[in-house]
Amino acid sequence: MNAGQWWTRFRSWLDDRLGWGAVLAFLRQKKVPQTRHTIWAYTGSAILLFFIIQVVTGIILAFYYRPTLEGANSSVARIMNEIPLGWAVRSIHSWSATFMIALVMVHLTSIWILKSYRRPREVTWMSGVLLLICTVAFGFTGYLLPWDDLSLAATKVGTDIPRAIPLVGNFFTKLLRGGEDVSGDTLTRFFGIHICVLPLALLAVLVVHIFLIQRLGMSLPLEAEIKKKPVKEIPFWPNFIFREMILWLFLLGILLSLAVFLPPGLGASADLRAPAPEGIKPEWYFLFLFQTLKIFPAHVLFMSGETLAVLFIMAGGLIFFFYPFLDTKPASAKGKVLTAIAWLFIAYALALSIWSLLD
Amino acid sequence: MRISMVRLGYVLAAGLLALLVVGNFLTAQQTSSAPQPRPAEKKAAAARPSPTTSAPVETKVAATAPATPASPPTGQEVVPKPPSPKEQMGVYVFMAWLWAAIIVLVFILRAKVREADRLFEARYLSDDKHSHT
Repeated sequence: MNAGQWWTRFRSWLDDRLGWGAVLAFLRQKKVPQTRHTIWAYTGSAILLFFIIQVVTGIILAFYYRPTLEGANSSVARIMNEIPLGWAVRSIHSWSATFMIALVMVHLTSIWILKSYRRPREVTWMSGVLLLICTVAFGFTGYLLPWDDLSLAATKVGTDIPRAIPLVGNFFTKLLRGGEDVSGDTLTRFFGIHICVLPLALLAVLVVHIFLIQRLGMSLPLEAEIKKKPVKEIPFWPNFIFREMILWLFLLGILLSLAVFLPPGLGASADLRAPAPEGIKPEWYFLFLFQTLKIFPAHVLFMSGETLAVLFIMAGGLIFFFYPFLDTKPASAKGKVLTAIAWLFIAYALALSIWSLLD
Repeated sequence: MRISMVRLGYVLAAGLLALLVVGNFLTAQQTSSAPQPRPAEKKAAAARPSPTTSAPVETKVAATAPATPASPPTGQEVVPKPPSPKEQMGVYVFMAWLWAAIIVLVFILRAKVREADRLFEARYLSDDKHSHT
């Protein structure tokens, strides 16, 4: 029996037990609309690719990381200096997080502008927003873990923001910090959330999100909905997957190149009693929120400016989450005002981020 | 002139990518812009607790951390790079191989895409064909 026959027998043996032939047949039958907007559909799988990279590199880092006041910074230094290719693994983890957050934002923005959230895809949109929150929370909790001056100061500022919410603000800040101030308990808490709570939450929402995409299929672009013209479709397997794999390869190359040539550094171990360094800024994806908080005046009528800014941001978040219920037009309606609002928001976020960077 | 949504999308994606690269670069610069200790100061710093960290924490580090002579004491910045020239060269060679492999794989995948599209247009794998055979 030659190798080809062995392979065929092994495949049929596996198929008898796992039934993967049925899965392949399903994927071959599943069709993906092929339009000029299909490029945005590729971002979904690219996010999944970066999530898998995050999980793998995160597990490797967790082997050596110690979430204690004494061990956090020195264990990260050890990963970077002593563990073979540890600096590269940490750099890949950091850059992959950046890519993942950027792609989640691009993915969600494309859906927003293309109005793919409309009936019957409201829950798909809401699960997508939850995935964005989970991803950003990953970034926020992970930022503290190196326990250097910058991460401590950023976490102090970040966890202090909920304090501005009337009535429940103090409770939320205490809940986040595990006490009145940022301490070793905060570090342990953030580590637990980063490696346990958030992955489980993200996986649960991801399952719902993917199930809904399978159930409802990909949305058609507006012009196809308006003109009711048939759209060219291609099978998910192998036509669409092969196209996605080309993008994955390029993204992988860019990720590894950036990770090797621009690895993140590690600051000196944080001192809880030291004052915050001058001109600290959060990660790039929080810059526009940070700048929004800064541009509000100290007092507006009877309310503090910070409280008003936080309430304004929370209201914006809620509107974003329930957006499909505000735009209840049929899928074929254009909705130019809503498109303009979406573009205005994007312009606002980009402008404030750049302002904050240059500030 | 009418600007299509796709083009605006490309501009947005490019803007975001540029923002994340510039943002990360600036953050990295901010992290590494603090004055670096000179070699002689580094030796001295290794021998005494760093003034930038609290004394109790330093004492605990000394008491609990395992003997890891290669890792710098806490209180010093760590600049990420391959520890030896050999590893550095290995990483660069790997990067060259990686991009070469990506280019080859992309060519193969493009050929596979064309083949898959041809088979689909010819209805080679469709249910109709299977039902006839």
